Amino acid sequence: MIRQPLGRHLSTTPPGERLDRNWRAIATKLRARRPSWRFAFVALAAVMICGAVLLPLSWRKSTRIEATVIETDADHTQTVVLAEGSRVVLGPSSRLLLVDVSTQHVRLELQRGAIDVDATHREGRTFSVGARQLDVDVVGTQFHVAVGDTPGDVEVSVSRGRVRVTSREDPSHPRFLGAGERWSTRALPPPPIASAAPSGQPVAHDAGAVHEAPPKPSLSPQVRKLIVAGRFVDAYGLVLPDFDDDCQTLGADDLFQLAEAARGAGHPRHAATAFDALRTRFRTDARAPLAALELGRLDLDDLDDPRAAKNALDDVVALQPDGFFREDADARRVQALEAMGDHTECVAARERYLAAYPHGSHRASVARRCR
Amino acid sequence: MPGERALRAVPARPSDGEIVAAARTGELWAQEALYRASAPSAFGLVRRLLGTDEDVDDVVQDTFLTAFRTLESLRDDDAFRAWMLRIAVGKVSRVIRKRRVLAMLGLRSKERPDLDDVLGPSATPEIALELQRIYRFVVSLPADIRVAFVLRRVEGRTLEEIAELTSASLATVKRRVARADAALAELEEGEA
Repeated sequence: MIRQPLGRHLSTTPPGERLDRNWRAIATKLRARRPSWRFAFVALAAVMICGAVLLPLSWRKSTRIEATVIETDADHTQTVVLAEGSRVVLGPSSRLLLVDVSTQHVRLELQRGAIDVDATHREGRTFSVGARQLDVDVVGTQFHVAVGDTPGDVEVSVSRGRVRVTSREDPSHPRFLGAGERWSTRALPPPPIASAAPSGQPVAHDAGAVHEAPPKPSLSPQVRKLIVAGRFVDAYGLVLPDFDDDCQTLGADDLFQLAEAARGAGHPRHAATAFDALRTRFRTDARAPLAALELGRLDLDDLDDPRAAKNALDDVVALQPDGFFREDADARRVQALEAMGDHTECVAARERYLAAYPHGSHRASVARRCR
Repeated sequence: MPGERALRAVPARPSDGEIVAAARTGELWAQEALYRASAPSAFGLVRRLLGTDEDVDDVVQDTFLTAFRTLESLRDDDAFRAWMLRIAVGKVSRVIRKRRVLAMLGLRSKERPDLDDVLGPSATPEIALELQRIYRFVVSLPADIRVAFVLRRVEGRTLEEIAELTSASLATVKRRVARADAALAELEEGEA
């Protein structure tokens, strides 16, 4: 009987496409979170709220809700009809705090995601929605408020009626949005914001007091939603026209999403462009080493460019010399050198890998290289 | 700066522990980073423990989903891979148990190890035969004993490592490996 460990003679490292396929399956399941007890509790709370706010009119006068949270998961929306007749629809992955809801006063605070509000007109009733640094006050209207993933991102659009938008840092300079108008901290340049002129007609002027941050471009909520839903082809179709420009302007998180969309849609060259932009433009970002590794893998497996792959893999090590991806990068580097036909370097890299990782997960495949 | 748009607060050049910490908060990029770094180990271990390619993808996916959903219970953030492999071993044991039950109920044919596609170039005919013999033998073993035996004979793990991976005591592991060794010796005697 042979007594040596026999596993080293089994080559069980999965090919890259199998790893990718499994990651996509895992990511989809992670995004589509299972209904948890917490969600069930929230859903129950929402039902109770709906029941409470829909009580007969004679009871409504005494109905008051304070500090209640309504949350939705990634796959659901939630409609809440308030006692005074207004309707609030929470988008997926949203969190809304009902700060104070009564027939005379509605105060909501959007903490995450987006809401659509159809506020009924009621004499004497105030209706306001807080979102990050802004307050949106309503007098009978239909509007949409969304907060982005990053601090400061807020979007308000009005379908009907008018709203007043006030910065909490400068409440003395409210701005007004009319029907069909949209305002976003991310927009460049900012959409016109109308103020109430003496005639009552909206007049466009600059966003100054409310919109103080330098706006930066970002992936649209629609694209993000499609990516989260795993609909990469649809997302890619939307970002394709501006893909190269986006790679020069988007932030690290968006670039990563962009690359994922391109890769998921079967466009490795564009995925590589986005990963390359991330690792070169955001050298100190935590995602940079992973982006460099992914770029190396795409160059090797999909784009047949081992020289570019080697450069990217060298960059993984430069970005994070003793980091999480070092072993992967070292193993892939051997593969790249073999594909380049650089036998001497390949043998040296292979021996370095085998010495550094005697129980490495790529040991069997690396040992076969450069023979 | 009011309203300033900032990148998500992630540490620059994070350590393994910092990546785990980011994954714990649900950051998908960090979860992907953990997956990319440790999935090859998981695939290899699961494939070698199961002896066939069947169920490997399911077990690996299930392993990472469990790991990411229970990351709060990981005490040492720098030990993600070892912790994840422990989860994988538990999942494999469950699959083997399920296979045995289904086979006993006649709902599934007896396992046939499939090594042809994973035998490496270093596997001499003698080693290939030995591997085939071991995998044919282990299909008759109860899940816990089979896992301990494969970890010992195929993986070359120490008894302490097996105890860690299977969340069993050292004494239990010794007993399991000894039972498998005895059964194999008995089989060899019978064949002789």
